[in-house]
Amino acid sequence: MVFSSLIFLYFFLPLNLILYYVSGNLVYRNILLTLFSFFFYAWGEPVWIVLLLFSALFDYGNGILIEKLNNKSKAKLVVAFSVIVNIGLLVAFKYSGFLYDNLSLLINLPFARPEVTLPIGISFYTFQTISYTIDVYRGDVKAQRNPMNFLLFVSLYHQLVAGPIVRYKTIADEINGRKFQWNDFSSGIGRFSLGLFKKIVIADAAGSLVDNYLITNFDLLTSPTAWFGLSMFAIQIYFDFSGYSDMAIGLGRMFGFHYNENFKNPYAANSITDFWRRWHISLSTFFRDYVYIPLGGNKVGKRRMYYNIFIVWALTGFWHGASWNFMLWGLYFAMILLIEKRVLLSIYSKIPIIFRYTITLVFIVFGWSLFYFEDLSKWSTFCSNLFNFSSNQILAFSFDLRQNIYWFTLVILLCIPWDELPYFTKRWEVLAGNQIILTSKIVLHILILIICTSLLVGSSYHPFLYFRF
Amino acid sequence: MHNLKVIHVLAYSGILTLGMLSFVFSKKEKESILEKRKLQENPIITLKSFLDGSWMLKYEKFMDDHFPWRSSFVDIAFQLNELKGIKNPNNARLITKTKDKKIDEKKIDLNKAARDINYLINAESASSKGLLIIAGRAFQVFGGTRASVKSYVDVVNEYRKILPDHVRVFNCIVPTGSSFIFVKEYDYLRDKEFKNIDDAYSLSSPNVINVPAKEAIVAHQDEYIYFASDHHWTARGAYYAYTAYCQASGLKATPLNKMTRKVKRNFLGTLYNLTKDESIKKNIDSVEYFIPSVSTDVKVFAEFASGGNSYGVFLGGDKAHLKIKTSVKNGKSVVVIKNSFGNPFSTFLINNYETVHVVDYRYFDSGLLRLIKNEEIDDVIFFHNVFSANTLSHSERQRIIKNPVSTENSSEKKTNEKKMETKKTNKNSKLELNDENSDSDTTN
Repeated sequence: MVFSSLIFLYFFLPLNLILYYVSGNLVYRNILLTLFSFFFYAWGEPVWIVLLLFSALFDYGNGILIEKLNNKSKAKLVVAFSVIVNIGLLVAFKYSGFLYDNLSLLINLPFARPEVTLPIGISFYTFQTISYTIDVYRGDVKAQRNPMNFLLFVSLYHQLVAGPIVRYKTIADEINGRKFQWNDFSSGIGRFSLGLFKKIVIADAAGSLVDNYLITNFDLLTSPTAWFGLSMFAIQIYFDFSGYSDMAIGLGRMFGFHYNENFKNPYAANSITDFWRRWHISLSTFFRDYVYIPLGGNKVGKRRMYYNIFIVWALTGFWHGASWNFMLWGLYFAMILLIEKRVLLSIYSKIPIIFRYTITLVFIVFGWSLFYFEDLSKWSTFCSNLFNFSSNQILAFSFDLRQNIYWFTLVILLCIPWDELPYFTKRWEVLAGNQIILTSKIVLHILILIICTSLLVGSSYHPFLYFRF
Repeated sequence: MHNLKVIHVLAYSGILTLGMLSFVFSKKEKESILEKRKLQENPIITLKSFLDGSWMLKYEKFMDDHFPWRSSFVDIAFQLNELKGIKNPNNARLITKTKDKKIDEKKIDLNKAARDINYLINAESASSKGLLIIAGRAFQVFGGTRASVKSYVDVVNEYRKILPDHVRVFNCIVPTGSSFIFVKEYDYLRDKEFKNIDDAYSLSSPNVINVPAKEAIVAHQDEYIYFASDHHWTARGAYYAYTAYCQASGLKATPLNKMTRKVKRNFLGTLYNLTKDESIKKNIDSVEYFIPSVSTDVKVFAEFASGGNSYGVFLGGDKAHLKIKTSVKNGKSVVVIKNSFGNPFSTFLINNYETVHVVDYRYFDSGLLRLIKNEEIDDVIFFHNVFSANTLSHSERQRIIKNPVSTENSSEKKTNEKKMETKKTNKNSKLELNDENSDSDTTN
């Protein structure tokens, strides 16, 4: 199931809320949330529930085992075992086709290509359980004794299928001790509405434009239209992904959980280093804490540090999909990071700040081309289109620009980091408690709900071109 | 302040709950009149359909189709989309097709597609690249290529090769309304369609007779030959194609004034329903039809058709196979292989033939070669608009019905096209509908 669907908004969520708040006891509430999470997951993939259960119970056991073993080196073995099994699952279900394709280029494989479908959310929940066992081993958090509670952490539908990667220690206390506050619920609704708006009004609309430029008219693209199409993809992916995170965070609040932020105005980054502090934060901090720092981070020699950076970014890229282009996408950022450290940062200090933001944005947007085209030969054709300045005028481009000009303005407004500008934050603090502001918020959230519902219903409107009589 | 937050929470969750309750307790319609399709029924859950996830998919579709106040929400959605920007000169706007993702993602073979009429209909406009709305009229933007039309002409050529010499094979491709916009900026659309038709004719094998329909239509381009609100054309447009056909086949075209002219008013067609554009609504169409003085054994015009269904007046809509016996006692017979664009065209042929067979290749499945042989057909006309001639699944479909592997020997005359069980499994029939455009773009 996805959040941006009628079945979720007008069936799953209200039912879940009512039953949850009718049952007063937190134990019942947790069981109820787990059951709903299973139902949520089963809606798309009933069979893979088994895998989810296995993954949860396996690391539930590992956590307790690690804690019970006084011997550090034995505990380390358990952690290693846990990591290997989890990564093994990920490799088996996500990367086996990729590995097969590449190995068969080198040697003749005696078996057929494994055709496994990717279980939804596996990339997220395996990382969550890995972080749990490592954190228990490091002593950052106590192992969870109650299997039901641990199952709730792993399967919680808010973040199960599309992140953020919530670490156990973030919500450990809230599993058994969260309190209801109207304030939380109310702010949760606000956050959920924002996410819904981002997903349905911005991302989906951008997506239909992307299809026009990067799929259907691909061979006719000229430089401006190619950049336009790519920018639409940049808009789509950011608003889609961050919208989903917003909805997850908002849903969490409605039920009393507080998850960490996953995006912070990424397109307002002033360098690629900065970009990765703002983009998919739960993933980049995962790799920072569990790969980069254990490898020595930047407290090692220059050469070793560069090596660490390349490892981390190749993995980050590869996590996004089982294809070379994703790895290249990661390495592309590693390369820019190095160039930034060595050259660009000193140049940036000498030029007007606006160029710094622009250059960073161009790097990011160009990077999305690597992310978009899984077929690298297609990608190289596309790149030649990006720099093809012939005057092949395309009707759709001017049409799309004009027809979406207000929408476009809205997108830009939503990319501006208002919450980082002191001028606005100060004024906002003064206004936040204002009755009128609060009332208009209520109206706004309901309005967003109506808008999103209309667009969802509207997308199910398929009149027949050729009617029968 | 605290109270307002309580109100916030209760109002928001109240609306969600209200939505849920009104969905559960609302009356469920069976069909949508506006969309001209059957709505999804409440799916029955079985262990199998639950485990493979198909029940969930259907249930979501069921909810989409029966959401409370659905038509109002659809209207709001259309109006919201208008708010996204400003209008272009001449009030032109381009609507790129909203693709049905579920169909897009699946790789489907044509046998399956034939069973599910949705797939075929979806494919009908596969060579379309969106809708252009300008000056109160809507047009489909053509996206076919020489390669995509070649696969259609290949099929016609195959028929020509197999059929005995005394059977004449005609290829008639007509342009659509977007060739007749008459705004300079969009002249290239006409060029594209015309060039595609020329390409098609140049690819025909020498024994296929090409019908120079577009020249005949251009000569009357100032007349009311295309609808503003519908993707079909008027009987008047079809008449000029008929005159071109008569010229190509050595027949004498019956003049329009020798037929009885009738008109159905207030016709808002499919393109209006797709776009809900106000400017089109103001430009409401009417359906003109011409009844030949020749008498026929079956009704050729469904005169009760009205409103949005008015185009159904021609042949009463699309039937898999319609056989018309006329009072023209010349012993000649013709079969038109067509989709709904060919309906008005077919009605004119009764002036010149003793027997007129009209075959809708999308629904017909009992062997076209056999029909031509058994019914001793003299002339075979492949009739297309430039879009369907460039739609791969349609070419493929016409190839399949040539000689299905096993055919049923029961009644051929199927009027109920919903009963479309395909019995044959043809290796060649595997086709990915969603690859149509890329296929034709790359093989050129």
